[in-house]
Amino acid sequence: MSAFLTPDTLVLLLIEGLLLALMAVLLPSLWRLARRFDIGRTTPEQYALEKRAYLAGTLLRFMLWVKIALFVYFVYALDHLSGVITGAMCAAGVINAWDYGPLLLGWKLAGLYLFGSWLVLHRLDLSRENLPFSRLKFRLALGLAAFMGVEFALLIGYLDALDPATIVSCCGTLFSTANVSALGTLLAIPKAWLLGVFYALFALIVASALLRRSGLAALFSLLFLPVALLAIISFFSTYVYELPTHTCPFCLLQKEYGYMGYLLYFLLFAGTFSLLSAALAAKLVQEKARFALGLWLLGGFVALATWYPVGFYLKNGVFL
Amino acid sequence: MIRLTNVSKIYPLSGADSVTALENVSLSIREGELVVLKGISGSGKSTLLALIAAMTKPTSGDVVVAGRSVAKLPDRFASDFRRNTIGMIFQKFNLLGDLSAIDNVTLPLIPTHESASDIKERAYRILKSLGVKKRLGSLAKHLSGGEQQRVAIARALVGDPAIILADEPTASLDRKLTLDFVEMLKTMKQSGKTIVIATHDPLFFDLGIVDRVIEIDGGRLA
Ligand SMILES: Nc1ncnc2c1ncn2[C@@H]1O[C@H](COP(=O)(O)OP(=O)(O)OP(=O)(O)O)[C@@H](O)[C@H]1O
Ligand SMILES: [Mg+2]
Repeated sequence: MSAFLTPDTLVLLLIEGLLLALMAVLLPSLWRLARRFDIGRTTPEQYALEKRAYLAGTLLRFMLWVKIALFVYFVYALDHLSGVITGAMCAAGVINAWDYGPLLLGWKLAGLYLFGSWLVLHRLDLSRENLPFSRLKFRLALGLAAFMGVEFALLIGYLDALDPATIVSCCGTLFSTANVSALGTLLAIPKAWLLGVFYALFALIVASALLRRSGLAALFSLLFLPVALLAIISFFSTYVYELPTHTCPFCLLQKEYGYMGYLLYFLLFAGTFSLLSAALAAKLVQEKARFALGLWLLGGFVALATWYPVGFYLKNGVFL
Repeated sequence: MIRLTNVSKIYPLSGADSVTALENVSLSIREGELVVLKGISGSGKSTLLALIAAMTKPTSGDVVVAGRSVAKLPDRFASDFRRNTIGMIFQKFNLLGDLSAIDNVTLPLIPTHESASDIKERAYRILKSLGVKKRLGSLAKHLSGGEQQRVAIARALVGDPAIILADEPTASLDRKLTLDFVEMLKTMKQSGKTIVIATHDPLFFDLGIVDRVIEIDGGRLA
């Protein structure tokens, strides 16, 4: 295997590999729990499964938290690798060094929401005496195992395809409107439109959360995520870089910009996740949705993103 | 109030060995009943009490106490259940020797977030009703057997549980103190508590206040 090994990628491979191995060890238990767990029964098998469920649930909870933390490290590693990969100025070039690189990144991002949702379900399950979601939780865990398997294959494929000698594109070409791709088309959407939708969706999220319309809050949060990412790329990032032509979601992660990207993305992802999971929890256990945290996080995101163009205007008296 | 359905408890030992402490036990105890569990050493009395108190899980069968299936109760709920529903009295009293008498009694109420003075007041009242008026501040380990016994009973009663479980409560008491204990049982019974006493003290087998004697032998009901 010609996998591209640096200290960063080695650490990634090692931890991801360990987690996958642990998942493989857990798999027979998860399989039995998914098929046989039935809290209504009082057989020796069921009591044994209840003990096993506790152990498996605890291990999974730990593993998924590590997976979530590892996402941050993955992003950091991508950014760090841009120093080694020819032509890459930031993580954008690194992730695009393989055709399926963006898929890997999207997969990992989706994983954050999936793992997080599982953790919420796990917490709800344990919060009730009769463990109402155990069966569902272990069935979903089987799905997560498959998800992690595909993710690991993608990671191997990606590291295998990385090659310091091959010249990759930098973000300047990848995120230009001249790029003949779906992304290029999306980036060509007029900024006024995009920002209109961005702030309108945020207002709708706040309104539906305050009116306790969980379903709507979840729907708008889901829509907000891609719109926000697009708005970061084509509008907000240019004000961070203070360059109208520099549209890139990845350079934000670099030291020049005070690593503000980590905070920005954390607020966006944690905020939308928190709203989605609050809606999910409200649906599952019929209790009042707890939207406050999600609203604060997402509000923080919108304020932070908005601060850059506003600050620029206050300083220079013009917009870019 | 308490219902066991086909309950077995098997303790696994090293390797493939195991001890069957209870085998297919079904019984039901009504609210307000005073029941004596009779059986020789090793017959499974303590195990039965531990199951009712959600201190251990059965290997099979169901245990329902005060409407809750305690056999299924996850650990994080079990301690609340015990504090609110069960008062336990042990043979060796299991007091904390380095705490004072009154502190031993207030201990179970600390997680309830009642005010410290309320808790103290309650403990004091209960100890007084049991005839412990002096030596409330003495360390438990310096108290006599009879005093320790009363402090242990006070601790079991302070949370006002609906169910009292006593595991050989008189084994380390002399005749006079045992009779005192019977008097205290009467009062508990009058206040409507459901009481289960595991013992092989013959005194209890034909005591007027005992509603029923359940005999257990080798893990099975006789
Ligand atoms: N934690 C344990 N591990 C293994 N075996 C145990 C355990 N607890 C009890 N046993 C066994 O289960 C059987 C029943 O024990 P239990 O303590 O319930 O009896 P008991 O009737 O209370 O006896 P005693 O009158 O001596 O207190 C015994 O054979 C005992 O050795
Ligand atoms: Mg015993």
